[in-house]
Amino acid sequence: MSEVATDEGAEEISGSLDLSPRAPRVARSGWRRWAPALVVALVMVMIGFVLWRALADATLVFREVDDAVERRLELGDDRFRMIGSPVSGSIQEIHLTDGRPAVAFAVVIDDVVADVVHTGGVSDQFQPEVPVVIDGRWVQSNEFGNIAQDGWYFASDRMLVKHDNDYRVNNTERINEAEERGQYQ
Amino acid sequence: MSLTTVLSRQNATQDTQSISSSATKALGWAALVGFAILVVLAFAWVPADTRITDQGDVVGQFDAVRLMFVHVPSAILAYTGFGITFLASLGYLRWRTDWWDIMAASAAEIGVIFGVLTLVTGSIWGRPTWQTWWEWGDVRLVTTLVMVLVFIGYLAVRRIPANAAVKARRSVVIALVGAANIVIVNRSVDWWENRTLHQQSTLLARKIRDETLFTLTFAFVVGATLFGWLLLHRFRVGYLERQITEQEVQKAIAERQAESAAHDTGSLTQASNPTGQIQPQSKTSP
Amino acid sequence: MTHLGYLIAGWSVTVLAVVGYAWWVLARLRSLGRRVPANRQRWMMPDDLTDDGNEHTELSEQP
Repeated sequence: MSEVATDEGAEEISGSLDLSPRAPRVARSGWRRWAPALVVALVMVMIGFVLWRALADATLVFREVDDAVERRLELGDDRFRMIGSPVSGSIQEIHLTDGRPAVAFAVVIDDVVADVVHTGGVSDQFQPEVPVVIDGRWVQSNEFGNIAQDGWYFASDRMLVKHDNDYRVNNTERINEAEERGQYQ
Repeated sequence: MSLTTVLSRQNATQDTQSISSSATKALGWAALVGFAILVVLAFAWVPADTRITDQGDVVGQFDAVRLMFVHVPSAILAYTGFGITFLASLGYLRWRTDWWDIMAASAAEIGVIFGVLTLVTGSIWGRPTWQTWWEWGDVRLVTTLVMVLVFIGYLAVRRIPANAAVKARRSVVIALVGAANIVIVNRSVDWWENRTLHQQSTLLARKIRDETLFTLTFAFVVGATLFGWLLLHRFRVGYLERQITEQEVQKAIAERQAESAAHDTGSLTQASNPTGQIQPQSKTSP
Repeated sequence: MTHLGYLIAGWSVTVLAVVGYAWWVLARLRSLGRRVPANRQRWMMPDDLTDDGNEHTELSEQP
């Protein structure tokens, strides 16, 4: 029963017209009623989780080769990610002293070169001059004297490839020749 | 009612007797044919991504680059959907009409579809090129995921039972917050270049070969056509849902009035509604 | 062709998602269209609706 009527006519109306809320004809089932709120809660939890994971990994900034070499002593045996372009002709398969296979190569940025011994999986896109992000730490050792000529190498066990934004073609004829030679197919 | 209004309504009614007008049918067919052409261009015309270094090494993404033609347009369409949601939300704040609210919701839903596709196709493209499906520390990936989650939340909030105006106001707030993230997502590759595997813009740098550029542009056109078709139809769904809600409200009012007329003969009904017409309600709750 | 599996997966998921969504929209449109009289299925312009979703002119003309 409405109690808001103030004038005489309205009181008369409210007195005879039942204005009390009715039960909906088709009541929404419990699941349908609560599902959107649950989805909202789930989304908020997911956003929180994503941000937490992202911040937890935020320390994994890619250090460029020149920066990593310059801070080599400061970094000590901290684990970090380093980005650089593999030097053409430097890539070679080797075996560690325990017999495990590895890939040795050099990476360069701004003419600063670092030697790398990588023991993890190698990307399909691991190619000379295509930047790689390698996850590992500096090691000072004479184990690979012929590779780490200055006594330092970057021991990595995870490799990601950061392709650049260049999709132009060059040397079309040489590419066609390479294709014919079966360098890629 | 003026003659022009009558004629325009008659034409409009004829146009919507089926679920699609001739214009939207044409749009749909254009999108389908365009997509078929896009498949041919992407797989038969565009060469694989290959470059040769000064030392003679053949490098590139090879055929994986053909994923560009679904991934990049998906991202652009997601931005478009969320951008339209943002603008329509501003429109709602200014004009407070259902048209803007329905437009905002429709665009957000389509934006979420393409946003999820951006993440999925990006992940599929990332595996062969980056050697990873997902990186939690990558700002581009994480901000994109957050953007999509915010708009999934936006759609869920709209489904929480509430008065239509309350729902619309809640939605506007989320849309405005979500829209701010669009800028962060788009600029993240430049702002945090050493925190993402994602490349910077190719188009702005103009580092793309002609066939690839043409096909990518064509993919944008096909995507825009498809987006337009989806938005028109999804908007109509929203509009019809409001119409049904309105019908139910009017039916309930009529039933109440019939009940009151049955209880009290004549004078009371005359006092409450002298013209015998159904009066517009100030607020309706779908 | 290199990376064929990834290409098939990426393109397929796109086609399936878009076609599936379009199908759902059309089905919903068809279903709702049956419940709304033809004269209320006309295209809606911004000025036609008020904040409450009512159309000024048509409401006052309802029997």
